[in-house]
Formats: sequence, C-alpha cells, structure tokens
Amino acid sequence: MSAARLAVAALGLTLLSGCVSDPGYAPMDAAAHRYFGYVDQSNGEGGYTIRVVLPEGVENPRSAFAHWERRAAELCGPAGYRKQLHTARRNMLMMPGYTPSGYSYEVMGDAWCNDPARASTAPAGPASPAVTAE
Amino acid sequence: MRKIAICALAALSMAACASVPPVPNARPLNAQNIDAIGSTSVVVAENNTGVMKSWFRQDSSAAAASQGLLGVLVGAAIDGIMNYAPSRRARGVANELAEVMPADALNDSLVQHFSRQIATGAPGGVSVSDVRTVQKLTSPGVTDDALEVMTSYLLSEDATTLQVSVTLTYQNTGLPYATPYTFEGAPPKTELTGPLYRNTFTYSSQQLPVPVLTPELRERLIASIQENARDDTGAMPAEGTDAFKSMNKELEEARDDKLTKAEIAIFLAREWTKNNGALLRAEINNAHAFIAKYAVLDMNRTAIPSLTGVDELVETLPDGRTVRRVGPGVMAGSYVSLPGNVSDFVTYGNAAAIAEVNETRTRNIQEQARAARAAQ
Repeated sequence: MSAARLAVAALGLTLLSGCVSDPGYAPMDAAAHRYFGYVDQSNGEGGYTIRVVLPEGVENPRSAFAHWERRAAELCGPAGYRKQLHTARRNMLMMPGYTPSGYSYEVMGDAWCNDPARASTAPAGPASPAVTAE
Repeated sequence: MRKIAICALAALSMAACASVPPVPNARPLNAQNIDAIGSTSVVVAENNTGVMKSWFRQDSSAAAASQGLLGVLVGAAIDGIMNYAPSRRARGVANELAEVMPADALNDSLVQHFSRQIATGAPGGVSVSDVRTVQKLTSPGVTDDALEVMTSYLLSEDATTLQVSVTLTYQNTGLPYATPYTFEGAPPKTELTGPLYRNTFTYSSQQLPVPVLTPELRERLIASIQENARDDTGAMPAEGTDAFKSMNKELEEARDDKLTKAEIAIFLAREWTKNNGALLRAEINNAHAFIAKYAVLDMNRTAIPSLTGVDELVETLPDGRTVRRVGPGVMAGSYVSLPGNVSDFVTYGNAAAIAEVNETRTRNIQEQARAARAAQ
C-alpha cells in the first residue's frame, strides 16, 4: 500500500475511532455492527467468562470494570458471585511510521455464581471448527 | 519503461486481491510424530536482550513524509524531543533490571526448569532427554531434531506487569510438516514448510497496584524527572536542547492531576529491583516453571486448534492464577498464565529499551563471530 494511502487509512481510522461513542452498557452484536460492549459464555467450569470492550475515547475507561461487575451480577443474581478478573488491557493501534494510538479498553474474567441454580450448565462451547480435524 | 510500470502496477493490484487465509499459529504434533520423536533434546536459545522495558515511541515519520523534506526534518526534530526523556528513562530501568537479573541468569534459570522435566511426560510420548543452550548470533541455523526455545522478557509501560513470552519449535528433516488445517483452496505457502511443532506460551506476572497521586508523590515525580534529565556529569540540560525541552514537557505533565502510565513506571520500576530483584526473580521463576511444564504437556497433545474455538481453563493455582489455552483467533492453542485479579489496564508500547550491558554483550558476540568467520 503506498505511503499516501496508508496515511489516509491511518487518519481515517483515527477519526473513526474518535467518532465511536460510548456504547454504554449493552451486549456486543456483530450482526448489528456493535463491536463494543459485553459478551459472555459458559466457561465449562460452571461459571461464565465475561468480556467487556469499550472504545478509546470513552469518558471513563474504568467503567469497563463496572460493566463487567454489572453483567456478572445479572447472570448470578442477588446471591452474588466469585470472580477472577484475569485480563485488563488497553489495546493500541500500532502502525509503522505513526505514533501508537489507543483503540479499546478490554476487561475479561470468569464469574462463578454463589447460587447453584444460576450456575452455567452448558459446556464451554465446542470449538466449531473452521478447519477439520485429521 | 512505461510497459514495465503498467505491468508492475497490474501485478501489484492482483497481489492485493489474493489474501492469505488466517491459520492458527500453533502446530500440534500428531500421534505418529509423537511416536517418532520420543525423547528429545531441548535447546534454549540464549536470550541476549534481558528484561526489556516497554515504552511508547512517538513516530510521525509517515505523516511527516507527506510534507516533503521539510516535513521529514521537522517531524524528526519533534519526535527527537518527545522521545528523549522517555527513552532515557526506559533505558535506565532496563539497566537496573539487568543489574539484578542479567541475561545469563535468565538463561540458566530456564535451563534448570527444563532440566527438571527430563524423563517426565507420558510413557511412550515426547519427553526431554537433555537440555543445552545455543547462541543464535553465532549459530543462526535451525537445530534439527530438538525443541528450540526462544524467549522474550518485557516490563509493561507502567511497570505494573512483567510479561514472559516463549516460542517453542521442533523441526526434524526426517519428519516433514504436513498441515493439519484444511483450506478452501490450496494451503498458503507458509503451511507447506517450517517446523513440525510450534506454539507460544505467555506468562503475565501479578499486577502491581498503581500508586495514588498525592502532593508528596507529585514532588517525588518532579524530582525524579529532573534527576533523569541530568547528564553523566550530573549537570542539568542546557536551555534550548532537546533534553531541556523534553524535561520541561515531562515537568508540565507531572504538575497536572493525573498519573500517566509512564509516570507510574517511575515509581513501580523500583519494586522489581529492590531486595536484589526478589520480585523479579520470583516471577521469572514462576514463568519458567509454567513454560517448562506445559511445553512437555503440549507436545504430547494432538488436538488441533480452531480459529473459532473458545478459551479453555486448564489449571487454577491456589493464589488464583490461571493457566488457559487460547480459543479463538490465530493464537488458538497457545497458552497463557494470568494473574488472579487485575485492577487496571496494562499496555505495552511500540518500543523496548535494552540494557546497555546487554547491547554491549550482543555487540561483542557479533564481533567475535565476525572475527571467527574471517579467520576461517
């Protein structure tokens, strides 16, 4: 790609990332082109893996932690949950020749519900293979 | 000439249309390969860079280039000013880390941990027979019929987290690689050659708590910035120099009400080196134990990763640390060891400072290698 095109692409991406507004507390939905928010799935250990991604430019990046806790509370109800927050990172957009710029804030962890009735009973989601086994 | 240019342009356009399909980086062994390999040597490629310090380098070269020569010069000058203090500080941290944990100590530690894996592993499966090191600067080729271990140690921008990344590969001229992945069309060229086995293992240390900004902390921060700006003779930078401008920029930021990641690093870097690097040693020890253990386990695992898989929780340790196998994406099948509870965002910059002693070591090895080749 020529240097001029790269510059335009980088500028466009930067402007677009600035235009992405805070999605608030909402689930991700790729079909609706909503790539920020929260998503959860069974972790195969009776708990849930919850992931929250907020765009750069969000007023309070630490709200990603609050969104995580809120989703865990929704899944587990008033009895509460045990948590393991293992990932919190600011993802950066790095392109040669350009100063890195922030892209998103991401928080991910597992929650196990104290109420057994709320525990996830689904397995960890079989790997829907895009490639076949031997 | 015009015909050549047109053809080249057409060829480039066609090349842009042909995209390489994504494929997991991991290459698992199959049962036949495991039987064939059996007991194998582990060769640790000597790490020459030591524990590096991550930082963000400002780089406006591409944008400046669009403004012609003047833009390039101005951009380079501005980048130089902005990067002067951060690069100097990152280098200082790397130097201090190297004092308590030299590169040789890293290599020795990893060798010891793999040595503890000798003769472990599933009966009839892949196991470790012996462990040795290789200096890739003097022996750059691939080691045949051995598990090669390449390492990287990086302290995050804010110095809250140490990341240890290891790539393992096994190659054997008698056992050519056959991709276990299927593709709609022909496999990409990258899937026709290369190591028989490959995987990555990443350890993230416990996350140090971020200090709270108080007036006293702000004064310490200002003092540290001024100290960092002094040259080798202890003199402050002269007015008008890049060092002076960079120092003033940092002082201006230090006087606000926010602690940036770079400012946090000023305080937390000391946590890693105090008590003769006790924390650093402990985390590296844990990282090496994780890597050595799961390397052997994974070499005996035949499951084929999927781009659309899900993360698997493999082990939970008493302190809440977890080992997971990555599910989706091109890192599917790789292993991560993550701390129990993180409380702040971690970032790794686009630049990594290497300790002076390690740069000197690398230069010396390269010169010795050149001299040896010249003597042949």
